[in-house]
Amino acid sequence: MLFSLFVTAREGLEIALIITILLGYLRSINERGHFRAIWYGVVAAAVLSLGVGIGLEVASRELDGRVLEAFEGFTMLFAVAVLTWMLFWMKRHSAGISKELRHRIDTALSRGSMLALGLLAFSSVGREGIETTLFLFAGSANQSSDALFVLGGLLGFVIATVAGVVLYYGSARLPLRQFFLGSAIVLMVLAAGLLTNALADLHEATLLRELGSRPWDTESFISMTSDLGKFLHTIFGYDAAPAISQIVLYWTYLVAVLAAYVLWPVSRPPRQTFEVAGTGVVATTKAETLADAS
Amino acid sequence: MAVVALAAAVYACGSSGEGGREVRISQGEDGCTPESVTATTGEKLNFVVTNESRKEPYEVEGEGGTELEEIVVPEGKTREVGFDVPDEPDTYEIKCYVPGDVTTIIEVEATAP
Repeated sequence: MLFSLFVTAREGLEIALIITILLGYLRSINERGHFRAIWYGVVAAAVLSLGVGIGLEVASRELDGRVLEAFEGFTMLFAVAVLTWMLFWMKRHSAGISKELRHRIDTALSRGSMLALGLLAFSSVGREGIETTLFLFAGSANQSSDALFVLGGLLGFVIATVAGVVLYYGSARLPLRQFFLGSAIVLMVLAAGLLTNALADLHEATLLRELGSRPWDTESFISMTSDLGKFLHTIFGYDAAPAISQIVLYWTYLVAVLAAYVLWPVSRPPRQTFEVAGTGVVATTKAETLADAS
Repeated sequence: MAVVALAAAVYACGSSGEGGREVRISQGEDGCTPESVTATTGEKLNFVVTNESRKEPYEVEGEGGTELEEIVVPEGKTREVGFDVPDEPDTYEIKCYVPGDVTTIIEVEATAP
């Protein structure tokens, strides 16, 4: 449940921010009449993401045995790769996203194209939606309760929606910068767990012949089939007797990605310097980040 | 992290453990033993599975619609998994196997008490 809740709360908030920027800008330039185009794009993106999720689920139900294990293993690896790339992309480019979206809205409006506005919302939201779908599908292979997994996912989206409404109406300042840093770390921990689970799946699919020795066994302390064992398996990729390759992969990924994320520079748009007319005062424009957009 | 710790504590408190009548299963180089188990309908069994072979990954899971949680037993390790025998008298199949290698179907013959 916590896995799906974390994923949808974080990714849902990214989606909410994008929609807030689009609607907020249209509102500020008195173009509320174009809200409908944005919402059409958002709904289309949601349908596409849902379709991808249903497609993955149907495909996995058609498979069994080693093919299913291989499918799940590769999906987990792909989901981790996409998520890691998106986390870094978001950090690197967050400074210019708000400005870029506004520029693209201006371009669409100047052409009088409702379709372009809808496509803008569709592509921006769809990218996040498919990323969310991939990560949820990869994580669902290890969850212990279908109902709780779905409930967690819905709860995360509710949290993100409420945050989006609060941002749009500007009734409160949310600690977005802290939330994005904290949730990025949580997602990296979840991704590291998925990596070790992917190794186990590929081993079960006999695509990996050896995982190496298993230096310890904590089964008598926390059983893999106990509720706590299942919970830790889902969140941290807990294995009572992990193979040395799983241990090395887990910690190498976590330490390397965390260190790189903290050190990864944020790309800020060049500050525009100008002189305030007649005063001799030189001012600079404030860089806008996704988090500043609120 | 505090949320995770809290949730873990809640999960830990809710852990039910295995329980039930113990049934030992041995995983060897040529397959698993025993190949049949007798039980009464509605009974709870606790399979204690030991991988005594040099093969990995040795797995146990339900077969033909039998609901049994999948477990993977590393070489030289022992794992436990609970099985609730359905209320309907029947023969329930459990698959004990190494992917792409040996497979044994263990039959649980459930009769009314």
